[in-house]
Amino acid sequence: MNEIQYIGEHLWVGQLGFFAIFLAFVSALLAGLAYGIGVKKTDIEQKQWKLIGKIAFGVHSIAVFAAIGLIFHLMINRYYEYEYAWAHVSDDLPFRYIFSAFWEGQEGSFLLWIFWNAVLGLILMVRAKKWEMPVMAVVAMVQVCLVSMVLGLHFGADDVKFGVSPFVLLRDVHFAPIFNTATYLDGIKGTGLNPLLQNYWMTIHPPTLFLGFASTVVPFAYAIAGLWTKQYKEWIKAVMPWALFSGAILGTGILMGGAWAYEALSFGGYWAWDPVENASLVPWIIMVAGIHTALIARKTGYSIKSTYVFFILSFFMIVYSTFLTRSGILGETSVHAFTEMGLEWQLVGFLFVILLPPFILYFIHRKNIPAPDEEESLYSKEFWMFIGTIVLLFSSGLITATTSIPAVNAVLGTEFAPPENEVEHHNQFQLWIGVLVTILSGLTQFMRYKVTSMGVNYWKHFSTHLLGSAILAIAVGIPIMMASGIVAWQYWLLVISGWFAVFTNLDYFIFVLRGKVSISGSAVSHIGFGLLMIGVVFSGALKAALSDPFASEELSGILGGMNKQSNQNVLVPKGQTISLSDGYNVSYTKDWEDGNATYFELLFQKKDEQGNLVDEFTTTPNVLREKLPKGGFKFQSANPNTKHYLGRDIFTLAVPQWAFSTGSAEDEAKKDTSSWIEHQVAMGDTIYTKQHYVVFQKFNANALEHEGYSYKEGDIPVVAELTVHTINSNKVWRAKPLYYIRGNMQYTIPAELPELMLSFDFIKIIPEENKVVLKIKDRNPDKEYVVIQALQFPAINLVWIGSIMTMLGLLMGMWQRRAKKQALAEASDVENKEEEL
Amino acid sequence: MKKIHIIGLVAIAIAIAALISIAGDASTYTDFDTALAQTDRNHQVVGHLSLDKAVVYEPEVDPNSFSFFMKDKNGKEQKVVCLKSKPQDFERSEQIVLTGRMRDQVFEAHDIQLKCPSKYKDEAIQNAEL
Repeated sequence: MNEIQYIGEHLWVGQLGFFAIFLAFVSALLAGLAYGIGVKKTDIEQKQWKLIGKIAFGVHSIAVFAAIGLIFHLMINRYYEYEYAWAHVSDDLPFRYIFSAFWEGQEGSFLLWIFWNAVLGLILMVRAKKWEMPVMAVVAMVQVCLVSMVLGLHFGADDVKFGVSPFVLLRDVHFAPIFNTATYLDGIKGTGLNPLLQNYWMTIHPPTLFLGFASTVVPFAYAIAGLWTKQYKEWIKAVMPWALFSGAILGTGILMGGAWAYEALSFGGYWAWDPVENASLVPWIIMVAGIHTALIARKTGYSIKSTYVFFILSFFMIVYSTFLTRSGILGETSVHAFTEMGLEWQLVGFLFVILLPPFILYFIHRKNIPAPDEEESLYSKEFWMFIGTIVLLFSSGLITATTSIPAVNAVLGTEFAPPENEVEHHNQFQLWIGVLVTILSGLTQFMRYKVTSMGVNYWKHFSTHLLGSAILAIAVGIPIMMASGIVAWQYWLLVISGWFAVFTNLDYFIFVLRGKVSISGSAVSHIGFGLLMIGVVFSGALKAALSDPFASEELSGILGGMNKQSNQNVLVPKGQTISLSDGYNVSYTKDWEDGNATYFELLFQKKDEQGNLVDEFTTTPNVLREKLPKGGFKFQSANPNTKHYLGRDIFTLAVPQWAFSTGSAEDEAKKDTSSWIEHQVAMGDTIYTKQHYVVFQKFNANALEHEGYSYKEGDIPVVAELTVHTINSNKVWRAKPLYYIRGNMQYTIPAELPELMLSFDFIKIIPEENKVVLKIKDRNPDKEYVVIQALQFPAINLVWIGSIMTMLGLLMGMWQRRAKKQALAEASDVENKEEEL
Repeated sequence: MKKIHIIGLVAIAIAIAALISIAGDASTYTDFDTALAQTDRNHQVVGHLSLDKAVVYEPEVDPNSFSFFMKDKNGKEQKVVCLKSKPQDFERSEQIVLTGRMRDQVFEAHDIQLKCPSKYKDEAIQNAEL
């Protein structure tokens, strides 16, 4: 076959890119080896190895930055000969989404992770001081594993793949006739960024989350450094700021993911226990557990072993979650897992590299790790803090067990399906974790390290503070729960224990720390966690669809097992007003176009029983769409718009009629007549239409006078007396469709209620069953309409405030310890202050 | 006995109880034949959309359900009514997981999970765009 000389390609970018990634791989390996060999050397020799390590890691970082720069170059210039540019950008993609497009793909997100690791490595080279060599050896070796994912080397007959390169050419991975022409580039356009991802969250969430991912390697590296250099305890002091940093950033990344799902995606919630969400939550929980055992270790010398286990496990779980989300194994259970790119075995290899050597090292050294001879006393702070970390470990273990079901299936060849209702499944466990953690977080603040008995003063201090907070929590919690209408006692427990955490920690902040902000990280975090739990209960248990006309208390009894959630979509014709639940109604007032989006204005009004307006607001959800060459639109994605109140949010989503139209105009016309629905009813029966309910009151066989009907001798006229009710008012409409027999023929005169858009036709009597057959035509809406969802989230702001405070507290803790390092004098002051307590 | 041993034992007991509970919650993937035979419980059925049959979503009639035909892994085809609005890109799905049960010869699903086409596997679609 003749080689085609393609025209217009920029091959140098890819060649340079391959080289940069290969260089990054080799230099990371060299840095890891040099640093590693140097750990056990002394003096001059060690200095030399260190220098080699430093230079190699410097080269590695430059190579990584260069590779990323080259990818941006080919994306910004739209070099569609590269698969990565073709798959992620398009000519009309605004420049502000170039970053999002870069990390949309697996290769780009691996590089983002590698980038942060390189940055952290550079910081460690400067700041880690005596820990530099072992810590950097580990970081560099992790970089080797990560860079191998984007190497793109093929061995043998292209069967063995080592990484997927972001610099592959389109014509090397796709086989289409167009590549037979030398000028194929003139004919192709990029496919662009998924419209769902075209928003600012996609710009800020991935870099934060990946910095969080990357940062977990530092405590991991320090733990290994501690074992390696046999400084079994000393490393913990050095690792504290890093562990707190990691907890804060990873937590913020997860929080942003929740906020994104809530604010900008059509998921209708901030947390769904999706495997991908769980995969980043689990390492965070373990990191938090590690932070607590590290604190214990610093203060008392207990829990050093657990600290090793937690920090190693946290990073391992990051890699495990990477495996779950990127191997395609979650495809059946998650809405947003990546699809496979053929790296499953490489990812499994990575897992074993992260798991085996550290734990082998740990078990070799385990006997030498110092631990006090005496056990922790039941009265000591360290004992109950340790119990708290065990609770956290349970939390992560339970989440992981469920999330791993697809992996179990893959290994054992079983066919287990995840729980049918995953949210309920996780909530039933995690609720208890929440209760235990909130109680322990209050309890331990008033306990003391290293005490072996309950002295009088200690007991007084402990019991008065806790009793006060407990009474306050009950006094505040019970009225709130009564008002909320929540009946499940488990939720009462969680709300009250949440308030307990808030009050105990507030008490601790005011009366023990005397309001000194610089050392109050733990109080802030724990108050935040308490508020988060309270917010989770209200926004979760009381989340309700406003757009469900049958969501009222009264009707949920009648409808019994009907799933409320499934009724959350309501059709609203343009210019009309539709009744919703909770006294609300909604009007679709107008729409307009802006760029590639169409906006819809929805006016919500709430009236009380007397008909007075008590609440009014508008929302403007939009949809992204593509203009079709033949006219009309192709629907791409729906973006919600949320009305924020202090105490609650109302989330709204609208999808226009053209998003559903698949057929021609004739089909549309047919639909109009097909909406007559037959019902067989006996006297007293109720029929539900979409917005109303219809009660068949009785027959009237003496209806000799009826509109549109004149009685003839021998006729048998029967009227069905119907009453029509709405959910939200006491107003009753009446409809009287007529059925009559004249001679041998049956005739009907339908009745209409134009303001409700309902028509009734009485077509048959079934005397033997004492029933009649009614046909009801429900709403024949105008051609223009939107299908809306409106969900009410009470107390959602507590979720945000609580989680932000949790992360802020972690950052404050980091800052406190960082400041400590810099100013030893102040540090001892803080230390003493804490000791006094 | 040391406290750590007691904690260990309690932890193991709770862990076993929790794992049993997870195993109890976990179901297995079944097929339409099983769903037809056992109509009194929910099933999770894996399959793919029958592209030759219509997907019907008529918000004018009911904005909260749509219907389609699905073939399960054994190739058995079944009409499905899903009690949700139609997800985006439904027609492009590669695999569908339904949760629900049979009702009057129709599989009524209250939950649906889609697996969307992979960038690397689905060359047919992508090449069509080229």
